[in-house]
Amino acid sequence: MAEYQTLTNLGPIEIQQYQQNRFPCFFIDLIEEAVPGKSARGYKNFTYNEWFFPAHFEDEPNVPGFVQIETMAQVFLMTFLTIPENKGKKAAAVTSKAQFKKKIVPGDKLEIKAELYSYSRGLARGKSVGYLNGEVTCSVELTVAIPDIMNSFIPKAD
Amino acid sequence: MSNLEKYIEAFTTTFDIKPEQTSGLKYQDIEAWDSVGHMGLVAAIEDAFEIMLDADDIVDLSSFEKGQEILKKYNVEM
Amino acid sequence: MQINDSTQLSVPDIMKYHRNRYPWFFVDAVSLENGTDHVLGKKCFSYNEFFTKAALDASVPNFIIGEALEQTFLMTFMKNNPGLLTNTVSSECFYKKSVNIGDVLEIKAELLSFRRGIAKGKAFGFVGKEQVCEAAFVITVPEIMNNFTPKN
Repeated sequence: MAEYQTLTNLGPIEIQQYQQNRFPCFFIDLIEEAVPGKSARGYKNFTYNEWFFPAHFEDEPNVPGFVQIETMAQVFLMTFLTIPENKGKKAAAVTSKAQFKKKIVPGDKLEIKAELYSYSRGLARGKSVGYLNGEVTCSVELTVAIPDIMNSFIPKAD
Repeated sequence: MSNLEKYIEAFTTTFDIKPEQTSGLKYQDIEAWDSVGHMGLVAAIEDAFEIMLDADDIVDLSSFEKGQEILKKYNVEM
Repeated sequence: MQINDSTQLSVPDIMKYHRNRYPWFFVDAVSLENGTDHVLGKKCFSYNEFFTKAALDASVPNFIIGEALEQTFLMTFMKNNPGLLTNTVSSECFYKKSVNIGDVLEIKAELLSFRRGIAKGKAFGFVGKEQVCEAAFVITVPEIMNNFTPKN
């Protein structure tokens, strides 16, 4: 894969130039580093003042598993949406295989490291791992597609 | 396969460890032996020896060696 | 897929079984298939939901679809453990086709095993007759499982 310039310290407004996720489904606070075509790392702070905590659960607020998956996935997106020709394109998860080790609660800062295993013809494969205080808390293996690109390689019906 | 080999295999397959890592191993010594891993280990032991462990024995099964003692009650000698 | 009226649970009934609440509540009706480990669920997707402003097109975010599958799957074992907290250990999802706002997602969930507080099973989502997604879950009920874990 070609080498691209590493991006650093991307805040939410800049990140949203690369991916189409928006509030209230936008789960990154900072991308500390994105190496296009290779890796990305960033973090998300979790605060009780987010819509899912009172609902999950009222007496024991913790981050739902699928929000954890989406958080890790959104960092993973930055491994290949930062490739110049992919900037701003819609991406959709095709498969996810996740493990959850520890609860994430209000006040936690989830640090995420994502690695791109392969990217070809609009299909990205890789892994994203979440850490709390240096300990692995959750992880997900992902296959994500950029439909606009991938669909151009699918045989058309006669 | 001997009873000891079957018992060791329950640990190695459940926790993805080597046989030499089993001796002295205790609950929560390794990341894989957490509460969920514990249930997996119990199921693997039960399947290996075709037994059903009592709840108290499951709670007491807190180490490799303790497990060997417990299984004597179920006529599994090693 | 038909929801059987005679075993249908409405939202207030479902809330007696699992602790998810608005706006993290993604099942509108459930049918318990008596004598089996299968449950049918239904989730209608509407523009009038909070997440629609997050999408630049008409599709429902995949993580919400996954959660809808999981919340139907919960009913396969929470029907016997009403109101207890649950904890997801792992999930494996396959999103075959996008689900759009306005679609009705019908979900078939199957409990493969529930042993000492650990539930394993699968859920399949359909829009019309077409299967659009599927998932496999391992979920624990800590209050039950902790009765079997060694005490330090």
